[in-house]
Amino acid sequence: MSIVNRVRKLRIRIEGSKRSALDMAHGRIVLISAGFAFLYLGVGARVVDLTILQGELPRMTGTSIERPLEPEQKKMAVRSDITDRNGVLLATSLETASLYADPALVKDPVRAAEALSKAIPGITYGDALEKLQRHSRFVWLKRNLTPAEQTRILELGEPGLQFQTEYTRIYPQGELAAHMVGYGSVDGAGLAGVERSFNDLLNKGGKPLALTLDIRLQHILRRETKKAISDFTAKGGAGIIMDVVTGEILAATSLPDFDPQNPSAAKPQQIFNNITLGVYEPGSTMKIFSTAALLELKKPNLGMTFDTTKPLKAGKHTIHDYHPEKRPLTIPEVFMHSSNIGSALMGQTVGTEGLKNFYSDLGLLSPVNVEIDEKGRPLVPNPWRDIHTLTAAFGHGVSVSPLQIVSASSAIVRGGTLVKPTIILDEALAKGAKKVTNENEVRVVSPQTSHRMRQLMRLVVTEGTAKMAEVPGYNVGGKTGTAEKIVNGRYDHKKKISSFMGFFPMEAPRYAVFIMVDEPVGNKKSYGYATAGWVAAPAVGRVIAAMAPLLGMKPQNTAEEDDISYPLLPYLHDKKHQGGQLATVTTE
Amino acid sequence: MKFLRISTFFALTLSAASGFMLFSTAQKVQQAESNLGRVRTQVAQEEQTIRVLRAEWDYLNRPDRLEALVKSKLELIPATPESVRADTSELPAPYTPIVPVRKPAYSSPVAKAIPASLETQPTESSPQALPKPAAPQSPDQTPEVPQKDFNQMLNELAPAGGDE
Repeated sequence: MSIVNRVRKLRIRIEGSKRSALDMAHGRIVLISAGFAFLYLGVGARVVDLTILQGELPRMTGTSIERPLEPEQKKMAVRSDITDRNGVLLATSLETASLYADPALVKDPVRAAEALSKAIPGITYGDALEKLQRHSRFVWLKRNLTPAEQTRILELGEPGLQFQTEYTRIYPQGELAAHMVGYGSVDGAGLAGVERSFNDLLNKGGKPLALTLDIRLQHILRRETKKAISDFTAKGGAGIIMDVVTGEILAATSLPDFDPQNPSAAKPQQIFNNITLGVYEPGSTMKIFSTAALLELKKPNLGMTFDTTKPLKAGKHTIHDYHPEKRPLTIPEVFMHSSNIGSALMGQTVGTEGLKNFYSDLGLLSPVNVEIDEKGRPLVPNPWRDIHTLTAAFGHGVSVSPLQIVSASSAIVRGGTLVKPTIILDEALAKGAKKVTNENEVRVVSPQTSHRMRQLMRLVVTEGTAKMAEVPGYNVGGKTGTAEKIVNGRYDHKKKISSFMGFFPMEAPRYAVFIMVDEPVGNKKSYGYATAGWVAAPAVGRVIAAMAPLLGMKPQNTAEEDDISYPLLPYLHDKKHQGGQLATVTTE
Repeated sequence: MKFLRISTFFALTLSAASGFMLFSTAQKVQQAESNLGRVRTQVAQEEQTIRVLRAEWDYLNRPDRLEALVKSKLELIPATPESVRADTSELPAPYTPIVPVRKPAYSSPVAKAIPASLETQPTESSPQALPKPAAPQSPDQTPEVPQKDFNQMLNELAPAGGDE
């Protein structure tokens, strides 16, 4: 018997009038059972796949892959922390409990109010009682309790008192880096500093944002700036420590400062950021740039002299010297005695177009490019006349922010290429990777001019106005600046801004230290002087003396002949004997 | 129709067994999930605690606070450029007594009350029968008592940390 015959035998033949309907029903049943059979087969195959192919088999052969049991539950994104370069917290968000009451659940409001007023200092009995007797289901009692307060409330065991967790921004370092880190509003939005400029990034949560600041250096800088301010009963001040090589701002302080935990209690002058937002006439610190412009553009002999015997008259203005030397001065002498007349003459030699373009290349005429939003626009004379060239050469008539001075003068001493100041730590860079931007560096002065400027700035400390900035072994160099403030459109002789722009070690500058003191008043120790050499230079010296051992820098005890400024001594009139030839004098 | 066929019996047993397995697995899963929930809460709490402790650590290590504490409690002064030497040969000889820069503000009570048993009495025969040097007013001249305390402390700590 063939298979065909067997199948034929199984066939049920239905005859009659309902034959077609029954046939149809039969066909449908077959179709449905086939469908279900197919589905069950699928389920079966999947079961085999899950239990054996994916479950047992890999476990036996040891190739099973650990998969996360469940996708990470979506947590409420906590605002990222902000840390310094060593991971010390500058800002963090902590869960705090806020206390509210459901008066309907409070059975004995009098007793509860009494207990509450004892448990939490800020709550008075009458106030609590009034709130607990309200006809509502929700009333705030106190926001952001301390953990101790929360424990005391829990110990009361009152079912009507309940907590809601909220996140509060905490600044463990207090006012130490307040202007750079910034502060936020009660609902967590950043209002200043990094908190503001990186608000969106911080709100996403996740990895902490590391700044370039070093909290130890920040403390040293703040302590010494504060000391200079209190010693000379000044109004305020600013300080910056920057890595000249990378442009990382290691410390930046603006005084007076405020508690970022409670910014509403601060006065406007406390909130004001002197480092980047405030613009000031820098005074003689500007001579770094005009002297560099002269050396770079005119390539003069260092023995070139400028006649500073009498005040310089230009239009209706007269330019005086603070310490008149009343004789022709060479370039190093003009720089180290900080002669305004000499610098004005230098500016004249460079020319209006040359000086203006040079300042512009250094970034002195546009807001500084740094990652916080509070940036002051420099005040530049418009139109720039020839008289402005004379005044701008010694730092009057142009107002810039302290950070601009630091970054521009760093460009000059670091070999002549621009450096971009930054406050955000690039982790790859911090581990020693080479800076990408180094390849397309912008050169402003030649390496030769840079070297000359380093020599000149060292000379200011060894022989000139900033002798008190010297730290033995670290070869400090720099330039003092004492500017008179403009009060009601006139220069006020009594109100000064004293600043010192220092670098060390001068052979190959690594760190820039800048301190500015606003309206210092001379004291007994300084014989009544309130100039930069007495106010800012010693403060910078103290900062360097404290920070260099901290950073593990070894002191170099260089002999006098090996000092970088030694070759300049022959150009000084009173040191002629030390080098023999006083360089050839070329008067313009 | 035969009711108690062998296949029916087999099917019933199979369904009962699978039902039991399903039930026990479901129970296990429920248990594991409640455990998981508990652990999650714990982890969240621990994370929160870590955040608080980190903030507290950095708050307590504020440079100005540390500076004030060091000034009042320790015989240490900040490193100065003079105290950093580029070359080890410049270091002073190790036996030169290092006199603290600041005089100790208190005279340690331990320094006065050294028990007689600790004082080594030189015997006639011993070669060290030399006049005893006068004890300078400095705390590092009385090492025995503090060291003993520290060792005692270490001993107390040992069983707790020794199992690791």
